[in-house]
Amino acid sequence: VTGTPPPGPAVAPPDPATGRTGLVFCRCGPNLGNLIQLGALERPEHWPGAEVATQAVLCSAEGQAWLARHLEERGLDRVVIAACSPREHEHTFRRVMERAGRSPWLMQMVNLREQVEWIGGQPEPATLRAERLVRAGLARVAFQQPIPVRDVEVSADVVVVGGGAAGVSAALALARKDRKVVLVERAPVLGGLANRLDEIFPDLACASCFMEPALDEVLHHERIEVLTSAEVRRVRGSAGRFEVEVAQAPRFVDPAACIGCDQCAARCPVERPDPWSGGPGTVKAIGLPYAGCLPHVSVLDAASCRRLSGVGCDVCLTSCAFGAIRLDAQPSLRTVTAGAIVVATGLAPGEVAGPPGVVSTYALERMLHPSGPTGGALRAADGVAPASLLLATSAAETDGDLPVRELLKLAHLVRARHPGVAVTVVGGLGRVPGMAAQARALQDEGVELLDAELLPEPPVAAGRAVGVRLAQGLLETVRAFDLVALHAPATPADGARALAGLLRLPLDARGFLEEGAASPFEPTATRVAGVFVAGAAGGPRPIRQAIRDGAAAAGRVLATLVAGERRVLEPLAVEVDTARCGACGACIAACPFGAVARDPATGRARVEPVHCHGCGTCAAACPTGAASARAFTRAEIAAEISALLSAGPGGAP
Amino acid sequence: VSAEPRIVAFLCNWCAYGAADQAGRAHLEYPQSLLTVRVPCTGRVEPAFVLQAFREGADGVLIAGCHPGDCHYLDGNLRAHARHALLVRVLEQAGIEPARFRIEWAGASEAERFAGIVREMTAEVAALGRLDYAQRSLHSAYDALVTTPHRLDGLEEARRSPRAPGKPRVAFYWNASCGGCEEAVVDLGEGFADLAERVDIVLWPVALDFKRADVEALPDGGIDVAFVNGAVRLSEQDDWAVLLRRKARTVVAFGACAHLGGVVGLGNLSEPAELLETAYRAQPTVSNPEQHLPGTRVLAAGHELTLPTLLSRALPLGEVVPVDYVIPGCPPSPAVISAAVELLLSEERLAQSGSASPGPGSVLAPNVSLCDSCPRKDSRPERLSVTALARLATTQPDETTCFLAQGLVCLGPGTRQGCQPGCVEVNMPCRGCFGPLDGIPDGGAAALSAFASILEGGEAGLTALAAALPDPVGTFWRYGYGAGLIPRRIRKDSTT
Repeated sequence: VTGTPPPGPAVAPPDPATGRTGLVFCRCGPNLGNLIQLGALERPEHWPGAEVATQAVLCSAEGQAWLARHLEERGLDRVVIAACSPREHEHTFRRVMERAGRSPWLMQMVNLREQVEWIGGQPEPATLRAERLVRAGLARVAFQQPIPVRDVEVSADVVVVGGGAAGVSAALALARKDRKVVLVERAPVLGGLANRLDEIFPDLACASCFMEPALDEVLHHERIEVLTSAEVRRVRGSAGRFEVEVAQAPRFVDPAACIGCDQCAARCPVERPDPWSGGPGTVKAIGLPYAGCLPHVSVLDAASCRRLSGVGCDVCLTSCAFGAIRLDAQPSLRTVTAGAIVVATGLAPGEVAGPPGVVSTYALERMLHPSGPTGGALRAADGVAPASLLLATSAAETDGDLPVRELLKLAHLVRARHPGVAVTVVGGLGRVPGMAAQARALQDEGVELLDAELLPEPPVAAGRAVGVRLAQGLLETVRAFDLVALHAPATPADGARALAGLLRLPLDARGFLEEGAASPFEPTATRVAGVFVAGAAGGPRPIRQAIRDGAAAAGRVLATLVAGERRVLEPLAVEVDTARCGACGACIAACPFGAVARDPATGRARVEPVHCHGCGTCAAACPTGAASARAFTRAEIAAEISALLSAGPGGAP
Repeated sequence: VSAEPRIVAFLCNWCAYGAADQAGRAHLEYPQSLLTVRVPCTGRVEPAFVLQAFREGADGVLIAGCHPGDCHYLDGNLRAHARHALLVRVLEQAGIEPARFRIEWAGASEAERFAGIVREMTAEVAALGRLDYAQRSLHSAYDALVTTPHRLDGLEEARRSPRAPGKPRVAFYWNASCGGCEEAVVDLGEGFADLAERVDIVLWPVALDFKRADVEALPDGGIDVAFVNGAVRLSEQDDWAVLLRRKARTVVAFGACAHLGGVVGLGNLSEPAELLETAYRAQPTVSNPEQHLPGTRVLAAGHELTLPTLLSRALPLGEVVPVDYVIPGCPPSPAVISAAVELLLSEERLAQSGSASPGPGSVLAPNVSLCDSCPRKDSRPERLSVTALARLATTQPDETTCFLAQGLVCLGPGTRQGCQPGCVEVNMPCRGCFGPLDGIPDGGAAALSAFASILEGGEAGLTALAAALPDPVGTFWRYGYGAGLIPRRIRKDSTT
């Protein structure tokens, strides 16, 4: 009617130079053609321009061989296969294309089985719909382009996040098997919680006795690089080739020069709450974090240091005989390439509320530690040794049997080391099977095991003691203890949630990481390939379990990430036509993987194929058409839509 | 034969497509209504695909993918959600019911859920009836044009006829537009004086007293270049477009209205009768005691008059007659006009040797988006992210920072440059008057998609952001609605 057609999708006719197109119907044995009237659809005159054929079972060995021969004999470069779901056999037929010397990307499957035949209904509408779908396949295949295979060598190196028991276990297992490991630890020291506990269950092994040699090996291993005071800021890429950006806060003390004499702490005038004690006590702004820490090097807390807050003070500088203090140290940022990431960020002990004299079980354990903040002495609210101690956990606990095991362990340690202290244990004993023998042994040691529950009201000060409300059956009582140690539910470690966000790992209701692998035979695997989770980052668990997790993660890495292998890059990685790009950045915002970056000189977009997963979200965002999704180009999809909706030769309405 | 509605379904490969397969394996019966397009991720679905589907006959469009949090590509489905939330409002403005355009989540194992979605949507769309957008809303515009079925015959001969010697003969004509394009010619200043010296102006109603008869008297091909501004909104404008096409060897669509329908194209959101009622009767300043409307015969001072009738929608010039070149902009900038005039009046181009670049059909402005030449481009953050929308009415935009980074809608990302850049210089975001780049089927859809892609938030947050944006059609299609894939509100009075 008019001179210029209305603005529709630019659908160019197939280029005759691109070769002939085949259309192969598969009958899938008896599966296809009962509802769809394939006899009519298969008539060659129905599909001018296509070479039509039918096979009984195209995916069979005979069918595949026939297809390869058919393509060669008839000189077909492109083929539409009307059969089952591409999720079933796309790979099969792509391989046949390759065997026949064709590009696998010039094959298009039309899903007649799962999505037409098997959904039932009347033959006519099913046949009409099948016809539209085949027509769309033919329309689309004309625009399909070969995609070159690109690959990149995998990095066999591993980033381990978290230097506690699980992380150390993973790092050592990997490094001993010739892997380079970068161990990223948020704290200025390694060892995590395990290195601050005293004796661990089930057999009251001395934690530092097995942690210290392991930490020592980690710190001196030629293939392990330890980054303390460090955290992961950004993760890009995927299994085999991650790029992990790590920010490291300055320690302000040169580890090579510091010998750990702690003279700086002795002279430092600033006291701050002890971050390692679980509550009570103070430490200085500079000094060794805690006795026995590794690396055994002082660290300066920038937030509380007078000098760094602008107040003149140089006490530590003058006190250090080794000139180890570097107040001008700067934070650093570096990118580590690794093939796998092990997340072993651990947990933070639960914090408790109450008047002085109420501490967490973790704080009690630190007190009991011979080189802990009190040198092994117990301190009640007034700082003197308590005559009575309550160990309790609330009924609403979620840490499984761990709290009860911890209470019984602490009761035993206190009775053994401080026989003068009357020990009472309350809470949840009945919930833990198999503890009867231990409980009897404790009763023999003189521990009072009270079949009672702690009431939710917080304890109150009662003179120098602490008043606690207990429920024994229907009876409510108030008892007073000099020292009350409560187990509160553990929480994920600081920064674990942010890291989960960077890695796109799902969290459970409490904020711990979910393993979420498809099979129990892939322990520690997560839903993100190449990312493993070990230890209490996945929820509270015993230290020995955390160590096993670390070893399991290392095993999974060693089994799946092989040095020298090449990783085929995502074939669908998006291309950007730089000449068309206006540098608006919509694609950068749209990319879920941080795979689009600006060219520093022009500001225009550049897709890094090693990071691209081929979702095409950027191509849909791009308003200039510069970004193009391979195998799902605008022309291909537009042709498909038009064909689906056009009236066909069969006269579909 | 088929009673089922036609629902174009974009199914993500990992979840919804898998669910559809599962439904088949479980032999769950559901209507044969889906015309499936398999996409890697719902995030791949361009709004233009959805509009194309409706334009070409879909009764409904379904986008189905992974549940939020389960996306194989982390959050591509949330981008799809944001685009859907804006686009469903655009369709509503065009009279296309929200039930016809749904986004749903179904995991690969949720066969029953998937089949349920299809059953429910098919029933809802069937209850609404056939949409038949093109038949009901597009073809009607041509009905008026088709009254002279052979009106374009012989055009090619006129275009190929040898050029008469002498100064180039130039015509300017004004269709449905505000007159700003005429101003833009005068705004050439000294350049205009030079131009007037170089050419013979054979038609310029706004400035010179030529009559239609003078143009009709010219031989076919007797005008070298006709610059025609304005959309084609009236039957009379169609007549003129055809006449000028016949007489001119080169027709240039001048300005946004001739190029894309312009602001005039937003009139397509109303019925012609509504426009006439407003303009000729409802306005308090109108005196029309006889309640006459254009198209009816009126006796005035002894003469019988008939005012031209409104076409059923405003059309870009290129939809009415073949157009050789486009000078974009509202109005075109002096730089773009000068460059175009130099090109069009060159000896080579006047002789239409055909080998010169750019080729016929070209838009005579750079094929690069405005962002690339934006004076604020260094202020763009590495990653744009909009968590709250700002509005010009209530915000004083910072004068140096990227508008998008301030939460303001700016169409610079998808708009061709060449405006020098007018609006940005006076602290106004780009509103898209230069139109999209070559090959973009619908500039508004592209702009909407880009903007939706920088919105940040969860499912509910994105819905709220999309809902907070006033008038999506007027925002993203301010100058391009008449040339869009859905260029008109669906006709209320039509059925199929």
